[in-house]
Amino acid sequence: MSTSLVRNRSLRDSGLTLLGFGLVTITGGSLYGLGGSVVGIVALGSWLALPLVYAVGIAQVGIAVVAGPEPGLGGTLLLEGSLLAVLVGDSVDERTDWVDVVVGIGVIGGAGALAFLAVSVVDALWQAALLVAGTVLFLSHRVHRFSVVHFENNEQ
Amino acid sequence: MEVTQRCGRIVAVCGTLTLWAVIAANPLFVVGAGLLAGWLLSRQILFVYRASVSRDRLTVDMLPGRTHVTAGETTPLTLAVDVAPPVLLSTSVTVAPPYNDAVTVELRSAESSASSVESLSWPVAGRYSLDDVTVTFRDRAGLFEQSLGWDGGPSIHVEPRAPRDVHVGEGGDALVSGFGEHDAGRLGSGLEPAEVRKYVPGDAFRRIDWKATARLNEPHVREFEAETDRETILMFDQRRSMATGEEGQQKLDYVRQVALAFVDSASELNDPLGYCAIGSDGVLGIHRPGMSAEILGSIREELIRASPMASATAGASATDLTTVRERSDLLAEDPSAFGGVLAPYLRTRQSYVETFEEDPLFQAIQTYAMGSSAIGWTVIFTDDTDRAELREAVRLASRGGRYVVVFLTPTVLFEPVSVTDVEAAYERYVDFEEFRRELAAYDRVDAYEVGPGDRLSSVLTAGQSRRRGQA
Repeated sequence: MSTSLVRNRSLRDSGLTLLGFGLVTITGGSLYGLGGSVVGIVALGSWLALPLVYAVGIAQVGIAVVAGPEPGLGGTLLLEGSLLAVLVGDSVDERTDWVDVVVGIGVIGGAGALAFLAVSVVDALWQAALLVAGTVLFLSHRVHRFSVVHFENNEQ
Repeated sequence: MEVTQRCGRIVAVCGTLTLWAVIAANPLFVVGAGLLAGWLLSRQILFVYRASVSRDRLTVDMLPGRTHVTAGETTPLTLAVDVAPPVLLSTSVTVAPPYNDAVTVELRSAESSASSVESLSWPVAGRYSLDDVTVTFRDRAGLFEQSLGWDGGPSIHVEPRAPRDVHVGEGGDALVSGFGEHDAGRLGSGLEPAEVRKYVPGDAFRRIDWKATARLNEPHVREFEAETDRETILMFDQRRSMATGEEGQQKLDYVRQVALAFVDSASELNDPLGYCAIGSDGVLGIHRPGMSAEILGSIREELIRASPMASATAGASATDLTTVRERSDLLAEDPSAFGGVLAPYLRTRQSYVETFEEDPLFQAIQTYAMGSSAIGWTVIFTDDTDRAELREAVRLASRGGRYVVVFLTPTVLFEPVSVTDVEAAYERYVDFEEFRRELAAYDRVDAYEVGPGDRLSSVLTAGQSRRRGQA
């Protein structure tokens, strides 16, 4: 099983991930009181039992519930920045070389920034969602096409 | 690149968050979905990068214990996989040898080498390449996979179980010269010395034998055996009657050894060689005469794989050929021990190139051997079951100045005989010998017996004892 989807690392090896969940708890608590802190704690508990991605998904739902439909620019930046810290923290904890860390921070941060810009600039939310989803799918497809050409044309 | 179910679940989470953002009109979900999608994209990019690096560093070594084995034997195969320096990616290498279960070596993430030794069994003769190799890269999170073909596996030559006491000769006397050796019947400028004769005007000076000239005190030249390219076609009988005998010691196994010797001889002497395999219903395979390594290799392969073929129309069953094939396909997929034993034989089944209603040997010679060069040789490998057809076939093959050599397996030497039946066996052998002499008496025809030497000795000994007793 993966070290990322199912936790099999010790907590000692997951310092930055823990720090990220701590950031979510503190930020949520300072912005939305007890409800915000509970979201961070529940997310941390989920991470101990579930793959990281699902824990982040649960945290995201919790944050949206406590923040309401209009969280404001600052709130969005702080809370989503905390989730970004969780994901990047996990990448850094798991990785052993700089390529992984650079790609992890660059791509996750870039996608998060794109999503933030989209919801800030585009008026209709569905258009923003479409823009983010379309961009990520396009990039993923290009990577897939590259792998097809690269591996199938260069079989040993 | 393939995505796993696990990857699909994460995509579903991203999609759900995005949909929820639109339904609940909450932009936080879009940002959250963007973060998760970014995480997945980073994994995909890293996977492609690592798989590319891993492929460049990967070495796959397959070391069979032996590259030449006899049918029915087993040989170990060592599969070693090395990625140095190691990569954060799990790699599995799978080799699928014919007639055996796949051999797989797993190299876990950050490991640099792994190996496995498996025992492979080879039930059917032939030449097999272990080139069905698949390399699969899998990322640590189990999200993506990439499979590649991998070339460069070794070949295993599986020789048929060959009898050890092959006797080739006439009337119990073994043949002295090798198969396929041939004199041109005239003198010339070859390599084998033939005779020394007096120099006559017109002889080239370079052909003068100076030692003989000095010894005999007048000019002499040395003659050599002239060499010719002899076009030979092998007519190989694979009919049901060639299956007589114990497993691995059937008539066909004996004549196969002689036919293989012809292939080796043709290879050494650069003689063009053709091949025609005859089954109960017609011609199973044909190779027009040629001397290239590919043609000789193909003939050799066909001989190695040859097995007696029963007539598809034999018996009273109304089952048509299509039904038989469908049933054999079903049996080939049968995972039981019964299916496992039969599967190799079903895979090697042959189909007819051309079918004949009757006398397939005669018809095959008429169709294929007679179209070849008029100065060529036809070599027939068969038994004494259908003597009338063989007589006609030999007469036909020897028409037009062609030479014919017949290698006959006496049925009496292959049937199980008790000690009390040895005298009767001698009578049958005498009958066979008369038939062989009859064939050998035809113009440009030589006929030889092929069979187990020890069995022939015991039959001849029994015959001598009886003659002494009568005297």
